[in-house]
Amino acid sequence: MEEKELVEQLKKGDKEAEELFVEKYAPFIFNIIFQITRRKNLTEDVVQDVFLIALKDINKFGAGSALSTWLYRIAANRAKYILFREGRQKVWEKDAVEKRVIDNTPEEYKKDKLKEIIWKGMEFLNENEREIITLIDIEGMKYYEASKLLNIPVGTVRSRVARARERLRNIILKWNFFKEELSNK
Amino acid sequence: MKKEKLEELIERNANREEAKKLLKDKELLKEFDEIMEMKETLSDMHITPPNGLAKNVLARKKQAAKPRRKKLAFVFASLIAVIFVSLFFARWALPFNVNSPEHPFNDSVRAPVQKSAPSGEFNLTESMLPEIKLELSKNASETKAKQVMDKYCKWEGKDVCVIKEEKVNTLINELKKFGEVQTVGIKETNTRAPESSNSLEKEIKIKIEVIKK
Repeated sequence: MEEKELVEQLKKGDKEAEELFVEKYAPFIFNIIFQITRRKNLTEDVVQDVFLIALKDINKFGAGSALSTWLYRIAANRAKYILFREGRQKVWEKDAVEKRVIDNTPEEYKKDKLKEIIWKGMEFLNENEREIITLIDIEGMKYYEASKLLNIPVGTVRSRVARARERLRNIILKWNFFKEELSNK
Repeated sequence: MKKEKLEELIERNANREEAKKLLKDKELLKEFDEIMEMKETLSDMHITPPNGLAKNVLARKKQAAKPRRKKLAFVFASLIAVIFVSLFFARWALPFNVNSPEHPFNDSVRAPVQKSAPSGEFNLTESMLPEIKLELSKNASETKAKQVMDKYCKWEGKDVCVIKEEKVNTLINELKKFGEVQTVGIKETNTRAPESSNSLEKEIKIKIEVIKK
């Protein structure tokens, strides 16, 4: 189903379209919110809130923008509002990063360790930096897609992502991870 | 310039061999390796949302709709209740005794006023009351006439009879057996048929005068 058709069906209150809409955009929205809240249980609740708001306000959605952009705005605002309401808690969930089984290979162990460190390191990035890393590196968006979504020029996306990566790398370097783990490469 | 080249290589996910050829700088190549390693790890950090998310959302949507319907029903019911209570008080709560002449809905007061008919329920002076004059015939017994009157009247004073409105004509007919009967201010109101069951119960005051020949 194309986006335009999907929106029309949603405006009519079609149940199948609603289910399709949530299934299609849930992974993207889930990851965006997870990177903002950094708590899995909270993320699930916020994702549900976001889709409820979107389904309620679907008639306000204008034809000029993409559905993903509109949804992203709702998600980002909602997640930030929830954090503001609850008081920002810089709690790092130990189990937030998916880990493999305990008896993994040295290569897998190294990857898991790096994942953990990146996750921890992202905590020290500001919201804009974490947002751009999430869109480009975690969600795998192209620069022009992120530019549309954030409503900023492609050049700004490029410089923002370069700066964010540089900062993240420096944080990880401070913890001597690359030196130890990548020295034998 | 070299930094820009590095960023371009990272952007298009170039492989290490190409980077090695183009960068020709150990430090930059090291940076390239580290960032690419980081990128690869980040791309692996995409989290799959829990199963049944769509169903949960739709279930919550359904739940959210229910209280709204309940709320509407409650508001509607309250509105109806308020209207009924207001009507009740408007009708009954003013002077609580409906029979009171001050009560705006007192039919017994309002009806005669509208029809400008005299009624015993006004606080009339004795001289303004409707009147029955019985001129006794020669053979008629005043005592017997009084007995007939007593049958229908409750006396107020010597000659003011309180009588049910419907019985007035009967009384007049019975009194005619004792002589000539003249009425003042009765015929118009009492010859008509009663309008409601309420008027059947209505009592009026009539002045009765008996004249002996």
